[in-house]
Amino acid sequence: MINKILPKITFWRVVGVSIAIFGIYSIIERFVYGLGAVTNLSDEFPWGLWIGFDVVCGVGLAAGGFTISAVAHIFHIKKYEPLTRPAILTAFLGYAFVALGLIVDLGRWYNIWHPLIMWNPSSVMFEVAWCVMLYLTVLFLEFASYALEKFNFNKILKLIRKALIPIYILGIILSTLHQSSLGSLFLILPTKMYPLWYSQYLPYYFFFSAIAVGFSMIVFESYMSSRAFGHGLKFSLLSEISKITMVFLSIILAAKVIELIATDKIQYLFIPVTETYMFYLELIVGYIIPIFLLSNKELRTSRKWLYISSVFVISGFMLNRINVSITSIQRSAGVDYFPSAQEIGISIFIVTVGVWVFKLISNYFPVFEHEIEEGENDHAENVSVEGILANK
Amino acid sequence: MVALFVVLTFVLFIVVDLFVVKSQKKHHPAFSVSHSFQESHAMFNKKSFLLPQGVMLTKLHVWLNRINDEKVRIGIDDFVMKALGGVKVVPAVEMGSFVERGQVVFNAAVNNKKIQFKAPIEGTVVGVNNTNNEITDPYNNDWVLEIIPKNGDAKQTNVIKYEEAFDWIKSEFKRLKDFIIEQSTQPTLAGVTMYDGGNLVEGVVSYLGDEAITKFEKEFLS
Repeated sequence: MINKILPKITFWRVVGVSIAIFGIYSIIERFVYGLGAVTNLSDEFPWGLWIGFDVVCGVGLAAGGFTISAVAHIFHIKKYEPLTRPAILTAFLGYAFVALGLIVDLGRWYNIWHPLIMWNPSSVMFEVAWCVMLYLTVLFLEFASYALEKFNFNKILKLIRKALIPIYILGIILSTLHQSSLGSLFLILPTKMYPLWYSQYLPYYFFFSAIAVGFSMIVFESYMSSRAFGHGLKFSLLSEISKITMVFLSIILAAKVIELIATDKIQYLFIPVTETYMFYLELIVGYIIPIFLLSNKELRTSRKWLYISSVFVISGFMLNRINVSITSIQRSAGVDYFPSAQEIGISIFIVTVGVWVFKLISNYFPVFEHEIEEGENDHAENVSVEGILANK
Repeated sequence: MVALFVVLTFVLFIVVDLFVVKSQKKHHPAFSVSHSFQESHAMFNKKSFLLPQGVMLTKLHVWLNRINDEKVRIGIDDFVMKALGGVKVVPAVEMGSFVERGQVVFNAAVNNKKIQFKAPIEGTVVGVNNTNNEITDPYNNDWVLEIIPKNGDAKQTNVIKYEEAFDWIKSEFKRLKDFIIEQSTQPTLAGVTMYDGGNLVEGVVSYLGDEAITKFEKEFLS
């Protein structure tokens, strides 16, 4: 009996279960005793790890869905089709867990539905809330087509497939809106944010960085899927889409440098404070190193370096988003914020559940099966046997 | 500091996972051991395929060639021969038997795995090449079966027109490269220059293991 159980116990399962136990305990504690009891948040510093990581990073990291959808379905570059299903599933789960993170973070979480009927069109947060709700619905419809395929609900599948192009377009529009609007949220803090991060172009930076990291997330997620499920990598495709990441990173880096010079903020680069070091770290990790790695063809076509570059892009992206939402505000708030164990536990728990659900769905739905259809016998023609003989 | 903490946690999970993979004696897709096979193996590229005049390729990678008014000769094509390496083909049907289109008509052994080839036409088997040699001359001496196609057969079969055959082979070669990249934990098997349109090692599929050989059969021979 023990022998039957033992092989199933793996390192990551033990870690995962430990994270789940602590995460569930922390969530119960948060809902029973309130935010004050489990977080280090305060009136001076109300947005912490859950907003900075779960929401502001989470939405960006889920951008792979709309970026690859645009490339494969709207620009009709069909060779990228095999990458779309896992990316859309990742996006769907990413947004679902962003919503879960928001529920945990909201003081009066039971009012989360209010934006549905209490409209405030002049609020950026209202736009983000609506876009995320609509995009989650769109992702659900996109994913539903795979689920229907699995259960052979062909009539409904036909209907959904007919509507898929407008659904894809809607998804891309909604993503463009809320990815940039997340940056707009911080436009109301010109005096509170540290000058190195405050910019009137934050919506553009957020949108472009979401596109860059979206493709890198597809690369990273492909490697993780390959490691978990043992199937092959679409390496040539991953290498190609990484060029897009490099282009967008270069655009953002150039824009940032130009803006620093044009707005005379370059002086802040020479002030020896934590913010300066964090800004340098963000530029080096998130832009300079990955641009170097991805612009070198030999490195970009190496399995190892492509993976490492995706880790750099994602790390740099997280540094940027958390710097914008937390680091840049700490000085003006006059508070030293560091998340409590429960905040950290809940965030890691949400990511862990996301990984588990992804694995579960991939095991039971055709998330990766679509790959074998690639370019199959495009040039074959039907000729009768008489035709064969006549051809001689 | 929160940003640094989050990134270090992310990196820590990745590094720990690398150690976990190593302790399980598995290969991480990013850090697989690579070996160079190019030096000791023949290479092929999209320009190195043979196709004699009159030979008709099919999407099953079984060729047909009419040798007289009655008989059609069939065998495996040059593409599969080079992809699988030195293969021996064993007929799976007997003289005089009637074969249906899509029926398995001969087998090839690659490593410990049997690969099946299907008939592109239906008819009666009137000749079997029992030389049992390794295939080296696929369109001439190493044909496998001679068939008299069923008279009045109006059904359709997939044949690549001669003028389109080279384009089709090129697309198959590209598909094979993508397949090798997907399946290989050792990218240099396929040649380090393959991303730039380079060569493949002859018999490359046979290095990929039984699971990949099964996938090759499913994707290229069905």
